[in-house]
Amino acid sequence: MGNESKIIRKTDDSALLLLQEVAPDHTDSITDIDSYYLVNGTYVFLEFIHCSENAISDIFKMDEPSVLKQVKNIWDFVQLAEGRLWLIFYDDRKEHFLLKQVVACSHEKLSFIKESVKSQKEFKEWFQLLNKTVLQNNVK
Amino acid sequence: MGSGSDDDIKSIIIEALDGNKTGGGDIDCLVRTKHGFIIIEFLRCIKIRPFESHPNRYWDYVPDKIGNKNKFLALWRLAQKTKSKLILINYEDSREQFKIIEVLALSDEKKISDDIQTKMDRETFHNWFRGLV
Repeated sequence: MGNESKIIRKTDDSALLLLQEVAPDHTDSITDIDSYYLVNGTYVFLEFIHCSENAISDIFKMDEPSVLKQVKNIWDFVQLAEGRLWLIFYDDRKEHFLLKQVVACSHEKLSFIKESVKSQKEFKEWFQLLNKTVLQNNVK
Repeated sequence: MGSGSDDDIKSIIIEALDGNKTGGGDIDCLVRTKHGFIIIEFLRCIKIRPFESHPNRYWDYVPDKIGNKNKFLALWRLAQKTKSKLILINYEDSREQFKIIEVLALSDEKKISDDIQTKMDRETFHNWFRGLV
């Protein structure tokens, strides 16, 4: 995001632990943002959603209230940023990733403008291209 | 189905980056209030205790070539764009001291040039946090 960048490393989740300690139970008002990028002046937000069984078949359950609540706050924030929001569904095997770009989100329904299923290799290429674009912009 | 765990997500991102540097960031905590959003960044204090620590002290510190300031600059830019508050929270493992730093002005040249700092103990911090929502 700035002129320099960093290599992400696994660190301890002490901040997450603290958040869990202090956040009120069952609140819909607190969330986090998994990853965001400033690409050619536009913010791109990525929200990773874990599917219990299969990222491709589980997707049909995504209008579950818990998912909608989770995404609604983020979507409203993305709107303020005039950005784009991609939901990335994955499962434990991480063999396939389902990418969906949100175009609208209400308390009842999510709507998408684009979607694609990517293999692990294709997802890596997509992600690296996004990242490369950001880094190239930063050195200009 | 639900939000992925932080470790899970970090693993996916690390693997997808294949050793490359990231140009992106994350947000530790986003709070929705009736007045708008608050972006919160938690800052773990290890060597210097929360009451004494401030990002300006390690603004240009670059362990492993990681520019600390870039995270703050990026969060400030996003806060400005979304008209959100940016709050940095110094904390320590013992949870004895907390310092809330509400950023009011920040730039590359002047660092954090205006803020409101509030020192709290554990109980006061918990009450303050729960009062946000």
